[in-house]
Amino acid sequence: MKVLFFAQSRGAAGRGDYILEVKKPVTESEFWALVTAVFPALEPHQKTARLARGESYLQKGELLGPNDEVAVIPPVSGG
Amino acid sequence: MEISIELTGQLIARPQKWAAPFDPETGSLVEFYGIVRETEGAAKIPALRYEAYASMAEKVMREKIALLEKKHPCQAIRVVHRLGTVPRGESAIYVGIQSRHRQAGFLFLQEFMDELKKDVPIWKCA
Repeated sequence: MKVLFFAQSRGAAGRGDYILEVKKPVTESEFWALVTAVFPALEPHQKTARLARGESYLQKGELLGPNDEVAVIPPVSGG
Repeated sequence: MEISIELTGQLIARPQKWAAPFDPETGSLVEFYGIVRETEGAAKIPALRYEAYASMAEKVMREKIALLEKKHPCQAIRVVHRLGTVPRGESAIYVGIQSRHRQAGFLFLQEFMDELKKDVPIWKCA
């Protein structure tokens, strides 16, 4: 699974992307457990950031697959 | 509805020029420029820096426009959002909306900006 980090989440991870080893589909909370194990500084972002898969926001209950591209989207502030 | 979306590192000139001729049914052009203020929160700033998840930002904007078009039919929309460093006094965003009558354009613009600030993955960093 390719994980993309933006804005504050990129700062916390210290990089823009990361390949997360995932063997089976995972829930959103399982994703956060895996990703914060690698990047503990992302832990506070779990409360505020949303996830997107394939450039669409993840809907409640949807799973994330091993081949998905998942973006960590902190609260937006464009315009 | 004609849709033009641009994310750019270049200055957003004021006033903006539309390349294509206006739709013959256009009777109103509503425009908005979002400008970088001197203060962000309590701090005085020389500039803001914007970044985006560009491909998703454009996709989400198109989805928002498709929904709003059903509520407020318009002829055309042009969105330009600047990325990178934007000095104070310069525009971070331009939105122009052509409609038959002004009310649809005003409503479309207001709701589009609300949706953009809620869901479009663009961030400002002081």
